[in-house]
Amino acid sequence: MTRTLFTEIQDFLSFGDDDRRLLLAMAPIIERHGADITAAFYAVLGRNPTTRALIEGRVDRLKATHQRWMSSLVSGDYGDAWSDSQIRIGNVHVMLGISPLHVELTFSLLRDNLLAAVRQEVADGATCLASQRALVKVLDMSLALVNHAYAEERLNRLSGFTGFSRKLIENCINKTARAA
Amino acid sequence: MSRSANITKLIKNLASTTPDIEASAVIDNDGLMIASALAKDVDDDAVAAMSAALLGIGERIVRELRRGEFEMVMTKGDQGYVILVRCGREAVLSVLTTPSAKIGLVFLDLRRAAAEVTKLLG
Repeated sequence: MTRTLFTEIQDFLSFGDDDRRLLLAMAPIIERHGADITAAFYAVLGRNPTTRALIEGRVDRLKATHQRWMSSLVSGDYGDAWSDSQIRIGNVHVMLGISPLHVELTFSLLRDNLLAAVRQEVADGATCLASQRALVKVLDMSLALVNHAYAEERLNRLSGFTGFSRKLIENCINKTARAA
Repeated sequence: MSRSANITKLIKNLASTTPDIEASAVIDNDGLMIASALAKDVDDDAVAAMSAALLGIGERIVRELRRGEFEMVMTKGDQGYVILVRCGREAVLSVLTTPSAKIGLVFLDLRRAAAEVTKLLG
């Protein structure tokens, strides 16, 4: 199921070998800028009362996980293991009670900082642009999988609480959509 | 005759032999209509989804509040009752009654009909 979804996401975004190659070439950039990007990321989370409450007391551990995740973005290997790990990230976020809104917002921060790092490091204009496009694609693939995990987990919880089958929930949603 | 046609015949008979029952339908757990003898102006799909949802919640609250084995969901408006009973594991029988329905008799007929629907569903 996840694999089919992931294939669809990759096809939709036209994510291909050129993107893989460009992302792999960005690994040294992430290595050089990763710690700063992570620090800036957690500084923003620390300024917001809602997100601060979720990270307090475990920022160092989260920073290490975050840097590993950023490295995985430029690993050049985007197979089942990669997509499964994005789904797991989504599930962990739901478990910790982090809202989908904050996940979307944090991806915006990352996009901004990662693209700036590439701009700073890649002198050739065309390569810089292509690298940034590949980076946006991989971030969007990750976000799509995380969001999918969110939606699935929330529907599963609703199903567990109400006793509604997943098909019934989809049926009710579709019915409402048609009536609107 | 198809299963759906047999069930439709059965629930139409239910309405004709039990004067207090005005209409009925058989729905699967996913909220899809199996057989309907509802009025023409009723949105069958919506009623099917709502019936399955109500049954799901009914079963869940009976279990949560430890009220034993689930039997039925009954809702009342000033124009009558809506009663939902299980037909095996996969379906639900939904009936609409008149406001002055003799509920004891309706329950009896309803249970019999639910057992027959269960048999027809196999």
